[in-house]
Amino acid sequence: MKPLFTFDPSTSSKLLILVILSVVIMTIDHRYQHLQIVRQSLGTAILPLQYLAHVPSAIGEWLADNLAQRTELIDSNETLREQALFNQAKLQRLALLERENARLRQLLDSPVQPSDEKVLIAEILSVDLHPFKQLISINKGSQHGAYQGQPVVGAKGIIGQVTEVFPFHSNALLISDPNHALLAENNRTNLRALLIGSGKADRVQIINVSISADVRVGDLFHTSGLDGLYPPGYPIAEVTTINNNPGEAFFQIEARPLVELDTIREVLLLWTEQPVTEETAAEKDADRQ
Amino acid sequence: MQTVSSLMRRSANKYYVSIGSFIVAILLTIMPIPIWAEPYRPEWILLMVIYWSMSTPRLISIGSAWGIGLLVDVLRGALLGQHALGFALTAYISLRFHQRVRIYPLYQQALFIAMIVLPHMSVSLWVYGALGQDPKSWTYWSPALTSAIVWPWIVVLMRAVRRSTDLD
Repeated sequence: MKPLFTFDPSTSSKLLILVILSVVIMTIDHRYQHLQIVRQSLGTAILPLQYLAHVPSAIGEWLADNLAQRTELIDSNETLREQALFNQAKLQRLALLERENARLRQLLDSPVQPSDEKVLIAEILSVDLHPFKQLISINKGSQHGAYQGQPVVGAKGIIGQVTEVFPFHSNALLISDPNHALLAENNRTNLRALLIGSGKADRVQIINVSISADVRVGDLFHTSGLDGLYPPGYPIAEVTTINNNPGEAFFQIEARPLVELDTIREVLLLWTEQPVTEETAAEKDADRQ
Repeated sequence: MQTVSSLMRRSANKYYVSIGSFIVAILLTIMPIPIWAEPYRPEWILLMVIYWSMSTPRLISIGSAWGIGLLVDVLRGALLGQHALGFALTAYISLRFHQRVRIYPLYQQALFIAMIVLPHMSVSLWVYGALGQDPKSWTYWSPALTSAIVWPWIVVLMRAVRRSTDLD
């Protein structure tokens, strides 16, 4: 008699092969770079879908922009003009300070030279905010010159860094990702400390600050530039709570990122230095000889 | 009597409908939603894999489920193979039990869905744990619940879609 519940036994061996294959490629992907090409091509194949998923919110923004009241537009125009004037005045002072700074550094023979930074505006395609992964996808990729480890900033401060670059888009890890760490510096006291993500978009932690250190609620932390990733001087987060458990050597400090990471729509990509590619490395070698 | 050409057209139709349903599932997975709702987003793509492997076992093999999982890895920026492993496992379980589960009432099917989404999530959790990225939060498991809640609607909706595209 034919059995009622048939099941192809070869499926089980197929599953075993796939499980082994998965473990193998996970290991390769974790340790080596060989699978980048697979990731790149799959990522590029999926890009149209990411644009498509972005359409409803883009339409919403377009409608909000287009259906705005005339008086509202005049108002916002007024405020923006005032702001531009204000920023212009500030910039003039900054230019003066930059020149003075450069001159003083020259006098001191300092190796650090302020450099002009190139920036590019990128739009956010999709957001993946989980307690264990805080990732955004932006619409600039290697075709636009984006590179791995590139700092991503917003209007108010640091947002994160580019972690995966595809030809036409890239993924960036937010500073609130539990795996993200950067070396921050207290604006008031120049105390340096590690700032790590918490998995929540509105919170980061500042760790290993000894209980004898001078930290207060409301202190602003900015990038130190010593982690080799972020340029110095960009604001990151403001201290919200400081807990001191008796018996522990370190404070438990929580801070709120200045950029509202869950509502950003546009970001700035910073070019702090030339990314090290094979060409530039070869050039450097040639220079040395 | 059905002619060979109508059978062929039907299987081609089925192919397009399944691809369309996966595209919709991917869109639902990457579509921006309010941040408080983010941890509760159902595993749309996995649900589609389960649906097709239960309703049309000839159409989807665990190999293709594995491939779709690989796509999810790229979407989520996870390790290549992390979701693929769970997807293959889920497809295997649903292929194994499809003849039994298909005749359950919808609420019992939903319970079954919650149970077979869990192995996939555990595999993912192990990998996150091995990488030192464990979520540290119970909300990690909430997609299993929300997936079970949306399952009856998916079945009803897909039934309507298949009827209107002349698949049944």
